[in-house]
Amino acid sequence: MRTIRNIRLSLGKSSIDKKLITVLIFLVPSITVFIMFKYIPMFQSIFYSFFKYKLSNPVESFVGLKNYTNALTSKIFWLQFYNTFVLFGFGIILGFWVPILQAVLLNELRIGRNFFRYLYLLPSGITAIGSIIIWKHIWNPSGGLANYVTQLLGLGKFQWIYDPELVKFCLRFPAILGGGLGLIIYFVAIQNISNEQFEASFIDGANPLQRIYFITLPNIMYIIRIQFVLALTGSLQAFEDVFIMTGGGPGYSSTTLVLGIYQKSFSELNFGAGMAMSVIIFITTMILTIMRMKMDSKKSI
Amino acid sequence: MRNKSEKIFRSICYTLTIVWVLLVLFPTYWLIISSVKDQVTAYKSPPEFLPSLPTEVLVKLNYDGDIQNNSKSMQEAFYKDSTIITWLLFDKYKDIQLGRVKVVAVANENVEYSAVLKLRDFKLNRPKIWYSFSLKEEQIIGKLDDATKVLNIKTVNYKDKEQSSYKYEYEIRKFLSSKALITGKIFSIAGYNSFASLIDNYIVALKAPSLLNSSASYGKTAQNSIFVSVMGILAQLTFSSMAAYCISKVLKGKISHVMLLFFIATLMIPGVLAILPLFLIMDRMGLMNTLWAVILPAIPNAFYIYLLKGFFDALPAEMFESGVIDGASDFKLYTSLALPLSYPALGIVAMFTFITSWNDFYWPYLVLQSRENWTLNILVYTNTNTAAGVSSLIDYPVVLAMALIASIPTLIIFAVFQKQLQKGMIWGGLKG
Repeated sequence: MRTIRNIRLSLGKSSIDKKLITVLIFLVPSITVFIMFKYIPMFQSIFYSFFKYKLSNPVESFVGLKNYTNALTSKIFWLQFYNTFVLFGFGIILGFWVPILQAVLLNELRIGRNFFRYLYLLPSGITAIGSIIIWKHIWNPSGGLANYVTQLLGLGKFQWIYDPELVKFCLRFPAILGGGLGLIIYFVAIQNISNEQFEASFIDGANPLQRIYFITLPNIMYIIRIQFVLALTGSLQAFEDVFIMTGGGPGYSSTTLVLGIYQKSFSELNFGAGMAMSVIIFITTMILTIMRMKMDSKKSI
Repeated sequence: MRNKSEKIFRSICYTLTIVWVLLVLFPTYWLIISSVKDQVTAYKSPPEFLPSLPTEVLVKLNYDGDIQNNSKSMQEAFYKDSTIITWLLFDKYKDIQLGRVKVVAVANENVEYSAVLKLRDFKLNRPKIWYSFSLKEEQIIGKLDDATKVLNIKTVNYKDKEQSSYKYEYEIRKFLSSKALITGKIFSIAGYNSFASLIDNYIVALKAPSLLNSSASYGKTAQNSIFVSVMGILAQLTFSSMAAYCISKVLKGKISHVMLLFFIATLMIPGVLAILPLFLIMDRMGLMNTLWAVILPAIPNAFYIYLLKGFFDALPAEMFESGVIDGASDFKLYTSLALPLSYPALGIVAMFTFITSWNDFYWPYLVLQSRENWTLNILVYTNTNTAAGVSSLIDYPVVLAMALIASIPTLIIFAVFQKQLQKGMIWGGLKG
């Protein structure tokens, strides 16, 4: 070891070389995969969106903004945009508040808190496909649970996911169950609230509802805001559950933007148009994120 | 201060939580229950909420009379009769949850032969025997050897079980009596609970895929999924921890920030932007339809780099300083100091990587075109769409069984490692 130290001290420059090599070893693998599988595809998307992409000769015909104008003037595109937005709306109305409330309630329990938290998380072990399949079964018009329940309530039968009006509701309804890792985020945030605030509220004689409204909720506002933005940007990419449950149907009534992109690209083999659409989504996401950052900085003033 | 309103409030919290927990658990319960039903029962309206056990129907045939003395022809007659009876009953009675059909031959009040057809063997071998919607005896006779092979025929000393009246006895008796090709006389028909038949759908789930396509068995598909996940975990742990360590401990100041930004900026890229070119890149790299096309694009994940960097930052600086004084290279510091201390964090990264990769569906569905390269999710999805009517090999409850079996690893994680998952959410979610 001493020899190495002496060598290092005497050959100052080579220690920089050694450091450089170390850095390269540590970073090059990651940098490579990031460039290859994240940055390059992103720039390629933007680049090829200006072309009519042909598999034989990708840059065959430069079409400028044609892919974009086609998308933005297409009725189907706006329908997909609308569907995505409606799905987001249902997701928020039916399911955004659920994990928050569940976490607040869970926090109020004394005995059995860990037990219930355990049960809340357990069903997340079923793979995404598994739970989508079982919900598809529940929504089945003949023999599914949903119609059984509505008939019990005297509301008659529905077509559920085969009904263009109801399908978006059905897709987001499971959000009302809550639970899972989303609950854990809020639960952990609540646990992190310092006890002093609660003790102070006790002394002041606050009742439980006041306690929740004035202490618990404000303290987790930052998490709620983050989750909301994540939900917003995430909903722009709604795809897999829709694909598995309805395939975009009936007709186009549940086709989301991303589903539309895949249809354009893999069914119609129009990759250029698909990439243009994905760039549009990207720009929208950026705008929303910037808007959120602006709102955040405004709030802290 | 336990006053009354607090108590009422608390009991409301408990009630709401209990209700919600039951709601959250319900789809899983429904999945498990439906997977042991048969197709008709699964779609019955009103639905069966509580599981009902499958039945073993026992048909006793009497061969007294003409055939009595000629034991060889009795054996032949029994072979034919038992085959016809078992197969016909399974085909006709699709909604009473038949688990087993057992035919027993009695001659001179001695039980001579018994034959059993199990539900799972019926389902698995049905395509070999006939394809049309419902079975006729002539078709069974036509494929008698194949059909008989599936039964488990033996000579026995059969002990009579407690006979309780079986609600379908009259109906089955009437049905079988109209079948002219049965030589033995029906002596009795009884029904028993058959616990062992509960797993039949699961056995069909495991064996059926290889029947549909010999290169794509359930085992091979599971192997693919496991390979993708394990490779993904190894790659992720190596790449991310090295990058995180470098940013945290090796690089200082501005350049450290720049590197971190380089990685984190990718979090802003919506996945959909990258997918189309990625697809084309995989094609050009010649990796299309290989498992690597699934593994590689999943490796760059800035979230884990950020997480691990935060973890490394929190390690006490003195340890590393003394290591540097001792002349240890950065690499040695990394392997001997940082890594051993970070097993919990690495474990969490491994878990989340596994869950993400195990649940991955669309990208593998896109790039893995041949059946033998499929992952489990693709297999389950394809069978959902083709789970046709009651006559198909893989009917709906079997698909549910497939999905449930595929969920076992993630179920284990969510059942056993909840504390770690929670820790992971703390590190990831609260850092904003």
